[in-house]
Amino acid sequence: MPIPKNLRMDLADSEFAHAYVDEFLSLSIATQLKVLREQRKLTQEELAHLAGMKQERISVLENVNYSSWSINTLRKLAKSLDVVLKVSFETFSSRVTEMKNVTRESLERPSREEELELDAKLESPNLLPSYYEPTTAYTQTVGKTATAGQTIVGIASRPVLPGVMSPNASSNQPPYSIVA
Amino acid sequence: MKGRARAKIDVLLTAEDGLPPKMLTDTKLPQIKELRINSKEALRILLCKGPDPKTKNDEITLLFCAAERDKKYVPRDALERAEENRKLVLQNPELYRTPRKKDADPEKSENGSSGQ
Repeated sequence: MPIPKNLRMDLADSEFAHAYVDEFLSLSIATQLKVLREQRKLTQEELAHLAGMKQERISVLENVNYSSWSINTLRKLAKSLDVVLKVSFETFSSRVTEMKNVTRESLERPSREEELELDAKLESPNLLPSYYEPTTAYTQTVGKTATAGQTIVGIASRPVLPGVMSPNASSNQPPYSIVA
Repeated sequence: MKGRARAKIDVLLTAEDGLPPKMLTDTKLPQIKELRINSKEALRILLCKGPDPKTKNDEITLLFCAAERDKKYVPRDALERAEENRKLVLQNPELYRTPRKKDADPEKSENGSSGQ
């Protein structure tokens, strides 16, 4: 997403630009911490216990006006919430895009256990309808693969699971196409 | 300072309800909230939702900008002045309303065709 013109002019000023994105970093850490805690139905007290901290500390960390967290503290919280802490250098436009999308949905993350459970379901043939089979042959023939949320038309109109494909996948002309 | 204030206001206007947490702090007057900007100087932007009852959930009005020193506003009567401004805006909201340009469509704004 391009940077809006009115903001683009302001971002030309280095001091403004860095203060702008830096403030959002504090905002996003506090916000995501609260969203993830609530997603796991944990109280501040319970998260504090898991992270070996006091409840008051969690309350402070969930305050958007706080910015003195450390990587080590965030690592502890990531472990307690069963997610990964990702620290990376990014562009200004990517940060501006994030700022336009502060919603619970965009900030929630499944825990490691939930991810593994989902992966196991996707890989286990017993849990899938019999007409699904591995996607390898289709990928070799057409050079495409389906991802979650895509729909196959022609064979079945149900959502396609990642890594699985419908029958006749090895034929040169598959009787279906992938619709994004 | 300006960058920090702008970031908070931008997120305040676009974020889902209830997010980010503790973004607005209560003041002695329930209708007026405080947006805290901490930089070299502690800036306190006093604002309210609306105040036009019809747009209370869609608009915020920045009423007064104060500094905070020793846990007190500078100027000391900042909250009272914010309340005076709120009443002033309430008398004629249209006079003070400044629609935000649609950030999502910068090219239209550049061409002057956004209609704002």
